[in-house]
Amino acid sequence: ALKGGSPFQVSAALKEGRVTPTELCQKCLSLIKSTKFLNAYITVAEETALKQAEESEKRYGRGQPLGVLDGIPVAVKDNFNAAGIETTCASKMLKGYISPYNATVVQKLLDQGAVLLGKTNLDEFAMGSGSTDGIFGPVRNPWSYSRQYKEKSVPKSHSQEDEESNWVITGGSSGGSAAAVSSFTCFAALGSDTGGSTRNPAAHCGVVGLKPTYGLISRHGLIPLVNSMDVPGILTRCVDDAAVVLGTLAGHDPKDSTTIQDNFKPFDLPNLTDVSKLSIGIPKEYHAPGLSSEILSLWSKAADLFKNAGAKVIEVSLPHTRYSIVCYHVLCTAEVASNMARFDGLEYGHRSDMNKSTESMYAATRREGFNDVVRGRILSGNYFLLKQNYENYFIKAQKVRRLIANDFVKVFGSGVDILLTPTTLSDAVPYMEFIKEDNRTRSAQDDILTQAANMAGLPAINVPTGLSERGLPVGLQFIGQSFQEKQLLTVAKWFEKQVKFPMIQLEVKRHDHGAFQHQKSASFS
Amino acid sequence: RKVTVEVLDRLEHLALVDFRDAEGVERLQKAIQFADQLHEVNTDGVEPMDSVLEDRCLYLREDDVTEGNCTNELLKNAREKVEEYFVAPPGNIPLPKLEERETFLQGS
Repeated sequence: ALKGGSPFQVSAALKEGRVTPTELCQKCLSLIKSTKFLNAYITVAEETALKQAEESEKRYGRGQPLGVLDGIPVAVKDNFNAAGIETTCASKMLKGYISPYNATVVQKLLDQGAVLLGKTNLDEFAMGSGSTDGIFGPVRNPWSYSRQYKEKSVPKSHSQEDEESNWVITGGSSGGSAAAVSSFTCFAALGSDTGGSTRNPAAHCGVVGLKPTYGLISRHGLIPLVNSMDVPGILTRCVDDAAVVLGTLAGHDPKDSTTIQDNFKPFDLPNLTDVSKLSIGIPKEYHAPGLSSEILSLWSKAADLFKNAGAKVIEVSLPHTRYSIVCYHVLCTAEVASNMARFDGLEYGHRSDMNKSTESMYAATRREGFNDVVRGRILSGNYFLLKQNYENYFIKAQKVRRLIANDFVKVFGSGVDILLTPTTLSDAVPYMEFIKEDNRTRSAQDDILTQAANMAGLPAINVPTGLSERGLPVGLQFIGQSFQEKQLLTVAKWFEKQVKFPMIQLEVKRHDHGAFQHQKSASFS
Repeated sequence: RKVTVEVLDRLEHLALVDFRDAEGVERLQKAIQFADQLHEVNTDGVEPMDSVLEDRCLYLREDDVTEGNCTNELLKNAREKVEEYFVAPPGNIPLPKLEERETFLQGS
């Protein structure tokens, strides 16, 4: 097995021929099989992946790899179109829908020679913060099966049933992607982020989750939830890898008119040693109700870390933070009501047998195809968009959105470079506990720290910081200025180096070989 | 303030999804209650924000055909088709009224 440590490991190994793309691909496919119980993947594209690996091998053989990503196994959240592969959004509505095209981000990965292993699990239509509400069932957090968690949490009796009922969620909605990266079945994965859907599961699964600036990465081919907030998200095991993937994906796309036209130059991250010129802002409103004392303490320690290293650390205020969840709730449901209107059964996806009239067919199709969460949001959205409510709810929310965005402008304008906040209120909860509350309540609780960044379109990243008392990952979030990903990632990388987050000690029981452990390379780049 | 059956019925018509049961209706009530918190915020003189990229000029492509000829690809995903047509049931037939529809709201 490839030993962990510094970046530039796997890619270098491929270049030097110490491992071949097909070997790497087969290893990952095999690991996917033995971690099937995590339910991270909806579709595994075994045949095409192996073909891609073979092509990559030929290129390495000629000494002409396409780049750092050539031959690297990746996974993509199942709300991105990938040609020839089923794209379901974990919904009955799209079960059986075979994408006729690649999303731009998928195409870009493939153009760099990445090997697409499969499509990962999510909450239905990316609505949720647990990756528990899709038709393929919930995703299990790989840390549930880590030595770290078992030592701290499972009672001494340690029976099979205890393990079965103790497993914790991944967070969501990009839980499958986060679990896939966390359990070493791939080296990078794509998620999406509308209210925190990449950063939240990244925090719970102990991986890096980057939400880029709105407008930096193309959304063409990403099945939309909220057009004004959605972004493709990047999940990797270290910040350097995230920078590499970002370099591949960012840039103007003529097929997405909401991508900015500025020339994007991929960058290598400098190894920052001097943080004395840095000004870190600590927004006091992010000390939200329900924030666990553990995370509060970790956040405080992180602030001290920067202070002791010479950075300027100041408390700042984002006064409208507490309204961001409400604002998001209205704008999200309104845009969802519009975006979900395309699902009528005529051109693709599920179609009801009802054929008395077009409208009744549409109604029956949507009745059969959408789960409660999706239907609920569509109905709420339509309510807020009714003529009598439009001004009071939708327009009102748009005004509040501006106030939220302005809060950030003011703070960054006052000399603060980066904001440091918690990513989640607590570590991952057990599934049994999570499902006691309904999806909307959970989302409202869990999104509170992440979704203001989506409101304002700012880049933000989760960096795994430490383990909780229960042995589960806790991450902290950095929020940067628009299109200043280089600065954001540079600071994140420095922080990552300081905290030295432990590698997961995954204990996977194999039916044929008994228990074994995985110690895999931390990164690919 | 409870949402009237008329409005619920209208929503089912507009959205073409159903409330399914009392829980569905309650979900909407809670959603409205939650959203009402917005009215605590003073937004006098504040312009609504459509997009965070409002200060930029967005790019529009030239109106030239650059791709297409993928009829077969696109038809593959449709369940009902005839030659190169998507087939829909008869149109211009309004959804049945509340009393005649199979909807939870009937009982209200």
